[in-house]
Amino acid sequence: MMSSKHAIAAALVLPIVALGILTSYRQYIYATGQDVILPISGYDPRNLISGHYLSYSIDYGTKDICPLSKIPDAPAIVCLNPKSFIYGDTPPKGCTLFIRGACESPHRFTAGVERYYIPEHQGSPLEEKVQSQKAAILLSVTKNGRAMVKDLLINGKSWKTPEAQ
Amino acid sequence: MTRDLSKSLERWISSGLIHGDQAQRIQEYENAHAAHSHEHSWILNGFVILGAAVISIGIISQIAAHWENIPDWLKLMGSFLGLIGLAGTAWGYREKNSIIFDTALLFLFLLCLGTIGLISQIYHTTGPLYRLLLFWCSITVGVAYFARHLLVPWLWTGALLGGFTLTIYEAPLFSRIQPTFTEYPGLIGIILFFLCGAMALIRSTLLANNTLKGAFKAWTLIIGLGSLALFDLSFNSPHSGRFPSELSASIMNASVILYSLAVIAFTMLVFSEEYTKGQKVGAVLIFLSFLGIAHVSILTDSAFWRAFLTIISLMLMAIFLAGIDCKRLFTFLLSLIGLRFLILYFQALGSLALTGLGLILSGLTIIAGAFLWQKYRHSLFTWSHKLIS
Repeated sequence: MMSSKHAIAAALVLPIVALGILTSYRQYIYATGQDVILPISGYDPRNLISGHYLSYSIDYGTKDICPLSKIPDAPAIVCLNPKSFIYGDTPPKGCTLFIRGACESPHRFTAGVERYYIPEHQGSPLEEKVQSQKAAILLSVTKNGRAMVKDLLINGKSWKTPEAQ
Repeated sequence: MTRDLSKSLERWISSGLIHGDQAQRIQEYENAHAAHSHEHSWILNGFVILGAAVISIGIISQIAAHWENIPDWLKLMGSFLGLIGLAGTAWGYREKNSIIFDTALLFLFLLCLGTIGLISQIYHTTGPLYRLLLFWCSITVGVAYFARHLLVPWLWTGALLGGFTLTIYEAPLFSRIQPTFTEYPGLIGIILFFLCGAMALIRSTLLANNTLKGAFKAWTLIIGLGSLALFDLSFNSPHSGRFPSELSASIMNASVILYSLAVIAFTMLVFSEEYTKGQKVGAVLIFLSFLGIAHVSILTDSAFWRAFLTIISLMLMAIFLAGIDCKRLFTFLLSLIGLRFLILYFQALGSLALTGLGLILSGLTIIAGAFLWQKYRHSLFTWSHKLIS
C-alpha cells in the first residue's frame, strides 16, 4: 500500500509525465515520418476558418473513399502508394504508405489532420489564399499509418515564407 | 453573529435557562472559535482560488495573443516549467498551508488543460471534445483526489461528466439519432438520468475521500435536476411522443439501454451500506418517479402527467435531502416545487390568468405560497427528516 506522501507525489508527477509522453509521441511522428503533400479544399467554402484554425478536407486522390454509409467512425485506411481505400485496420497488400483514420460519414475520411492552427489576424487573408490559389498540406506519415500536419503550403511554398505571402 | 449571540444569551439568562457565568463561558468560547475560524475563512479561500483561476486565464490569454511571436519549443518549455513549478509548490506546501497547496493544485489542474491545448495547436491535432475531457480527467485524477477544498474536485467531476455525456452522445448506437436529441430533450434527460445513478453509486460505494464525495454529491443533484428539467420541458419539443417510424427503433434501443443502465446503477445503490433503510426506500421512490417521468416524456405528450411527476419527483428528492441533513438543498427544492406549482397554474389557466381577475388570483397565489413556505418550511424539514431517517 502506497503511503500518502508517495501517493501525493505520484498524483503531482502523473500529469507532467503523461503530457511529456504525449509531446514526445507527437515529436516522434513529426521527426521520423515520411513527408507527403496532399491538396486541400474547404469543405464549407463559406466558412473555412473556425476560430483560430483552418478546417479543410484533403484530396487523397482516391475516388471511392468511404463509399458506404456504414456506422459512423468506422475504421478505414487510405493507401497513398498505390492509391486505394479499404475499411478496417489492416492495410491492403502491397501498400507501402498508408494513413489510418475513420469514415465520419459517406465520402468523408478523417485522420486527425483536418485542422491547421493559425494566428488570429491571419485568418481572413489565409482563407482567401486557400480558396483562390493552389493550397496543400504537408503531412508526416509514419510506417504504421499515423499522420501529423507539418505545414500549410500555398502554391507549393510554406504559408509563412515571403513568397507565399 | 456575536451581537446575535449576546442578545440570545441575555434572553436565555432572563428566561432562567442559563446562569450569568455560563453565558460568559459560552461567549468566550464562541469568540475564540470565531477568531480561529476566521483564519481559515472560506470566503478568503474562495477569493484566493478565484484569483488563481483569473490569473491563469489571463496567462493563457497572453500566450494566445502573442502566439506567433513565441517559438514552439519555448511555449512547450514554458508550459512544462509551469507544471513542474506548480507541482513543486504543491509538494512544498502540502503540510504547511492548505490554501497555497490547493491554489497550486488548481493552477496545475488548469495548466494541464492549457498544455493539452498547446500540444494540439503546435502539432495541429484534432479530435472529439470528449477525448480531450477524459484524457484531462485521467491525468489529473490524483490532483482532484488530494485537493482539500471543493473547487478542484467539483471542476474535475464536471469535466468527467461532460466527457461521459459526450461519449454516450457520440457512441455509434446513438449517432444515428444525434440530430434528434435536440428535438427530443427527454433523450438527453435519459443520459443524465443514467449518469446521475452512476454518480450516486460511485459516490456511495467507491469513494472514501470526503472532498471528492462532496463534488459527486453536488453534481448528482445538479444532473438529477437537469434530467428532470429536460423531461419536464420536452413538451416544447415539436415531436414529443410522436417519433418518426425510421427513428423509433434506434430511439427505443437507446432508451432501453440507458434505462437498464440506470436501473442497475440505482439497484446497486440500494445495497450500499451508507444509507439507512428509510433513505434507501426514498432513493428507490425517486428512481421510480424518474422512470415514470422519463416514460411519460418520451412516449406520450401529456403535459399533466409531466407536471404531476415532476412535482412528485421534486418532493421525494426534498424528503430524501432532509433525511440526509441537507437543509439548504431541502429549502431550495421546496422553492422549485413552489415554482413548478405556479407554472402548472399558468399552464392550466393560461387564458384566464391573462385577465384582470386571473392576474389578481396569480398574485394572491404567489403571496400565499411565499407565506406558507416561510411558515412551514422548518416543520416540513423536521417531518421529512423523521420520515426518512
